[in-house]
Amino acid sequence: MMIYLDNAATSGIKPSRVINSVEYALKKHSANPGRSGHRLSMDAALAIYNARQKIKETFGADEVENVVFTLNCTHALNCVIKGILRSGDHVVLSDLEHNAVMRPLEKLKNDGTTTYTIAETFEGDDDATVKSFESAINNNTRLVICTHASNVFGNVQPIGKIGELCRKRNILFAVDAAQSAGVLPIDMQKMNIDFLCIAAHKGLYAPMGTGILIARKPLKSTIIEGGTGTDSFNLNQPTDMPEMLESGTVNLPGICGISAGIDFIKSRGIKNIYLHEYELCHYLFERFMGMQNVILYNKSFRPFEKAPVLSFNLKGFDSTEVAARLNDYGIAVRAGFHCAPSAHNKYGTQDVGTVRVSPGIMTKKEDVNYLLKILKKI
Amino acid sequence: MYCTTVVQESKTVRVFMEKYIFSTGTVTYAIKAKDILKRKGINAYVERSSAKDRIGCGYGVVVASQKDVAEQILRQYGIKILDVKKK
Repeated sequence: MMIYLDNAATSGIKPSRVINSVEYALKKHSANPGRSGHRLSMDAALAIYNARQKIKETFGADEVENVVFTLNCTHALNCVIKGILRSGDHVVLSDLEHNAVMRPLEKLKNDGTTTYTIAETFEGDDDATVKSFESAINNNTRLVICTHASNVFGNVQPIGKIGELCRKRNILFAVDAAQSAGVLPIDMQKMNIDFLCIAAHKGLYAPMGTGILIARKPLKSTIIEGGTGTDSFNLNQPTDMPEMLESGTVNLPGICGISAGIDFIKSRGIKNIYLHEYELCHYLFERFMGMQNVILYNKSFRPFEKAPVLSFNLKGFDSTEVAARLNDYGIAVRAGFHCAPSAHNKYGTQDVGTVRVSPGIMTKKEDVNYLLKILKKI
Repeated sequence: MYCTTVVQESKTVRVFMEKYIFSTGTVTYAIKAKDILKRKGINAYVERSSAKDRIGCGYGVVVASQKDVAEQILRQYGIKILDVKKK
């Protein structure tokens, strides 16, 4: 049995209620929702509707139809970026973004469609970060995209303040909540978030291949068109949400898994989940401070300033070598660049990458102690 | 047609209530419409709408009473009604 400390990639240990709900869906709702009129199809459609309703309530969305199921967070971000931006538009993003944001924007830039500016973030200084975003905005800025928490260094961004800035400047605001949904509180209305992109297979403990987009503002175009089970003689893609963005058969077992995952996080309490995972990271951070062969990159590890993600290196070792050695001892961590080149440029780890530890709600203190013991051996 | 039996002074009268389907297009809107109507005390259920009706090909919500009130409520809640038909 591995000690799983790679929850930032996907929550490795799924709660039994999630597993049971997926199995139940396959057994009892194994029909295509939104396509037929028979009881099985209608039951399936209702299960999906109920999942949308739970998601709406959990993240402070305004309408249930604005909850869209996607393949993953990357798919959700692509829907926003390509569904919003038009020729001449400008985008502001943080210097901690994942390639799920960077690559679509780079593609649009190379196509000559849009431009973007990377705003510097300041660890532990929210006001400086907001000011930096404000300075990067120009007259053509249509969209601001910001990760809620860095997937490499855990830095939590002042989403509410950036949302307020966007509202004042009448600019659309998209948040990449891949690392934060289910771990940190999110209220789209209070935080002025127009588009929330979620990796449901991470903090919501759903199966892989599940993502969510919550869109409070209309998207102008789609990245996939096809059957929606409605208005079949109209060859133009329907504009009703959420079907506009859900062409083809949806992942019903996965969506039932999301629904059960939300029940799970609510039963534990999002704050309790965060504190459990944060305390394990903080414990590790403090122990690392006393180990001369460990290189840390965060200045501090204060609660609610950091998501439960901790990056480090061992002096004289490549990050992937450390991860390989840990694997030999039955510990699962991720090493390398974590698909976030900009974050590595910021912290000077662009040549070596980092070893990333990300505990989950199932992680125990003895797991972290075992990690420390093995790292001392290496 | 929905049928109910009413007993009036020792004689039985059959009252036929007409059902109406509000075509909403998507199943999501149909379920949302049903939930809203139920919250307002109007019985409703979701049904696949007729293939003959190309405008509403998709789903609709069916009510057996208070058609006008139901329509008003749905419009109030921003439910796009593509068509209303007697069933």
